[in-house]
Amino acid sequence: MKYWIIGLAGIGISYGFAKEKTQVSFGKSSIMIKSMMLDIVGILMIIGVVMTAIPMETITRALGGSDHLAMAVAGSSLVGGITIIPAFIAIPLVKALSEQGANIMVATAFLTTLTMVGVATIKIEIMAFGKKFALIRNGLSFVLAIVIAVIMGVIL
Amino acid sequence: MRIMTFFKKNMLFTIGLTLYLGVALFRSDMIMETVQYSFIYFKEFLEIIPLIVLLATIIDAWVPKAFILNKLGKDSGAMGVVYAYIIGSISAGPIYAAFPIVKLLMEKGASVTSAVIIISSWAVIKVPMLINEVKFMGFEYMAYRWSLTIIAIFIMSRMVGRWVKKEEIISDKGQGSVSPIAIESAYCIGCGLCAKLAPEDFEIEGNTAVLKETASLHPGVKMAVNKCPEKAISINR
Repeated sequence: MKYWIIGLAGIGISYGFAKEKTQVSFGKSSIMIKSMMLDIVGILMIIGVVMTAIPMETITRALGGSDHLAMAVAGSSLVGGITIIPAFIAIPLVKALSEQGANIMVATAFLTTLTMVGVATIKIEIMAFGKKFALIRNGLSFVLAIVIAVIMGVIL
Repeated sequence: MRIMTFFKKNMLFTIGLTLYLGVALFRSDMIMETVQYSFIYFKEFLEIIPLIVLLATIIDAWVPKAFILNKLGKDSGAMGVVYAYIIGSISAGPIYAAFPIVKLLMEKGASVTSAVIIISSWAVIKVPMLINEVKFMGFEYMAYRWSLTIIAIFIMSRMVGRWVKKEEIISDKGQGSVSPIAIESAYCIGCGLCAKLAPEDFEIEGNTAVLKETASLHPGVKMAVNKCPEKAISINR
């Protein structure tokens, strides 16, 4: 509830200072949220299933990382690299998975490659900037995303 | 057929629905609990959505984007790095929406290093979304992950800047279309703003804007070029 009040008050103030500008910007951010609505519903359904129907031991065994951490990190990085889900929507899923026994390193690897690496958009990137630039940028992103996940796993 | 494309286009929704059906069929005793958990997360989502919309709105309305873009055009040293991070992380929209803007900036003088920073931070560092991460993963997690990401992008930009020369990227100029107006359909999100501003030039077909045959250069088109949220329309001089 308090977030709704802060949100409304903030928009109200901005509106008071610059009516037109605020209207246009508000329209844009509403479109952004609206365009994600179906994805949000989808992820909520997936989360419900993760939290209940998939046994905790299965998740712990696959993503818990007690006996094959490197494999699990590599696997989740690959999945993160090829899928396109906005991080905004993926974060709750990451939370659900880690609550159900997924290792934080594995979960972070998925979350970070998800946004940093864009296999799905690489074609457009090559069209715009050429093969060399796109491949190097995405390759480096993939490696560094894993490095970030490993550091996160160690410090948290 | 239309239903198939709907499911294909909304992959997450399709996966979620399939999983739900699976639970309903094979573990029908659990379906109530599953729905319950979905709703718990739904409530948490609803709580932060107004804050995210607010932050996105305020950033869009008050950050002097044109000013920063202008600064980025020239090679601006250390401040250029900061500006590149800012422009990338405050922009909404999918990553491919960044490509035409970055390319334009490069033609105006921005370096390969800034290009990498803009594109990467555009994809990764979304300021309104940090609320989401704090909410679900906690402040500490967000702070560590974001700091590491900013460092990683910096390292990456230096490496790409060393390996890729700018001439390799903007050499294929001037192979544009014959029409004076061009729509980059890969970038278009189908918001319909152009069709509203210049109805005799643009229309929405399916999910993207297309050029009408009657299209001509006039002030309405120029307005559409400026207002297009994804900068997908260009005018060939």
